[in-house]
Amino acid sequence: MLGLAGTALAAAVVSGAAAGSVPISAGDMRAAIAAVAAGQPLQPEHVIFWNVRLPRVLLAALVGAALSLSGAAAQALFRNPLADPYVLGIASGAALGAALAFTFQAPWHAVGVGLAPAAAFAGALLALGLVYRLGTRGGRIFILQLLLAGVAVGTSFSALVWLVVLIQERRQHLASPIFHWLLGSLAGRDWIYLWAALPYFLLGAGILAWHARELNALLFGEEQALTLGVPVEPLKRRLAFASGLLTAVAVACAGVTGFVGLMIPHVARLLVGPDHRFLLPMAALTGGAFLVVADLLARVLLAPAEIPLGILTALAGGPFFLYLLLTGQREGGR
Amino acid sequence: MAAPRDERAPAVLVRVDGVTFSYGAQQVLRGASLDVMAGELVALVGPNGAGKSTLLKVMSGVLRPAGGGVFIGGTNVASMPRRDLARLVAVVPQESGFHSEFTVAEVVEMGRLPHMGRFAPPSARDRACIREAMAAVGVAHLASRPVTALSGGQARLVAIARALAQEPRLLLLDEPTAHLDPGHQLSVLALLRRLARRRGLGAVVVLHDLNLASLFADRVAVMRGGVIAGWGRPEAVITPELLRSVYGIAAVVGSHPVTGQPQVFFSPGEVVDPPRGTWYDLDVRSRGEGDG
Repeated sequence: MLGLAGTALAAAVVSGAAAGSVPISAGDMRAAIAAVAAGQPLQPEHVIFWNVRLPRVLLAALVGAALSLSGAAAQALFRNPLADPYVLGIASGAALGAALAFTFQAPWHAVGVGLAPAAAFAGALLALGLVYRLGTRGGRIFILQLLLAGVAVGTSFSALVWLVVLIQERRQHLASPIFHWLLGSLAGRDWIYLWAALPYFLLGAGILAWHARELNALLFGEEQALTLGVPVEPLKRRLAFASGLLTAVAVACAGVTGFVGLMIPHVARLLVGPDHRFLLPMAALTGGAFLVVADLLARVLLAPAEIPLGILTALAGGPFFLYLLLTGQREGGR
Repeated sequence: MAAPRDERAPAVLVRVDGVTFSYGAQQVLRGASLDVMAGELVALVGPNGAGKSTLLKVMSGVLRPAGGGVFIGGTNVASMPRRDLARLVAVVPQESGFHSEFTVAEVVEMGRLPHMGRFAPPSARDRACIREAMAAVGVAHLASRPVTALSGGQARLVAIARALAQEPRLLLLDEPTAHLDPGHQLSVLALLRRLARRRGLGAVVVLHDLNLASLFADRVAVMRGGVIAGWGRPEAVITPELLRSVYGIAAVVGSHPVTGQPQVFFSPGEVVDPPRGTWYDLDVRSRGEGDG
């Protein structure tokens, strides 16, 4: 099953790299990769593939995987299927941090890109801390309060983000790129974004993988996890850290693409069951494939215009959230 | 603490020593003390809100006592790493918490969590332990069934199997017979007594049914107002005086026609007066802190 998902991701990456305003053949891809591997200068017809298409597609896969892992962690942390970094307002917190970082402009562009994940992480942790504080009492989770807190925190942070964007526009007429980023977009992402994102992604994913078995125990509730020998409080802090890190890196790279972290873990759970040792890699692979395809559609559906990625994911995710809300009342929504 | 030990006396497995605990301003445990021997089944009885569940949570290390302590082999439970503690003490909770689509075998395997490596697959010993635990409680035939599809009685048995897979020395069970039909109530308690005898486990079982407590427990501990008000063999503890003072009921205590153990005969309309503290206790309960 994991192999199948891996194949799907690989297929998505290849088609994502192939399709676009300039179609690229498999032969061209091989030639370009061979040229880079041999250290030769790129042929002009390979430049689009290597410098534009490939980093963008790989970054889409990374962002999709990060959001899905973050959602899976949030769902285990809050033991609720409705939890995800977007619904809980964590993504908005990350967006505020990243928006502030992006106010650095050329020649400080690289600084802004490098800083964005860290700033987004700070914002994500701030939002997560607030939502957790408001949605729990004495370690007990009150799902209604939690979702309301998520809405309130998310809306407030979003308002601040728009404020930052508007101030930027008045000062430097810089709003347009930030505006597009904010709606969710991978347009114009080159390798520097991928290299800036990778360490954060690896750290977050590594923390979750390290705790996969303990995440399973946490599904029985904190008390049972404790009596099964899981140090729950440190585990929760690490989960929040990893979830915030993964949300931050996704938002810093691709803006706010909602509901991916909500939908993908559910799909993965249907495919491999609730065991996090299989669920986490499955969520990462399917999430990566999903966002590569979504980004592909964003580029080609209304070509030459691009549809913001966040609009596509929200169109799919909104109804999915409602479906969970309506069917989940019996079990998950206690 | 080093009192001379009588060699013939069974070893004390757990010593609960003057434990106090408060939920916020509400003091729930007010100096509860209790010893549990290896191989014995202790029934913990008492009115709602007396502190039974809270005492169990302190014994399992879930809650940290404000004063006093729980000692296993001389070591304070509060100072043990969670993983070490989980190899000594296993808990069968009131609520199974089985909301995820794990199979019975996978849930029982989680009882091996404190014994297993982080990434290693279950060892031969782990697998034997899981098999044996499922066989001991009679759920082996359900091994590949999702736990969300089990009846209440089956779920309780699976929770007991998971606890056994931990290979604990102390087993704590919070109302394991609640919501079970009489047949399942009897089989769960018979199983627990058998496990205690054969494996030398200490078992502390919160029960509301005094007659079952009398039939199955080696000793009965009566809790009231956050302390152990009395404990001993069933015939010494389950008396009309106790029923009146702890539960506020006047009832006749006879003896079982076959086994001779004390059995309580209730009468309709025989509530004398609700014992003091009951309303405060019920208030604690209604805030969701759990029964007992």
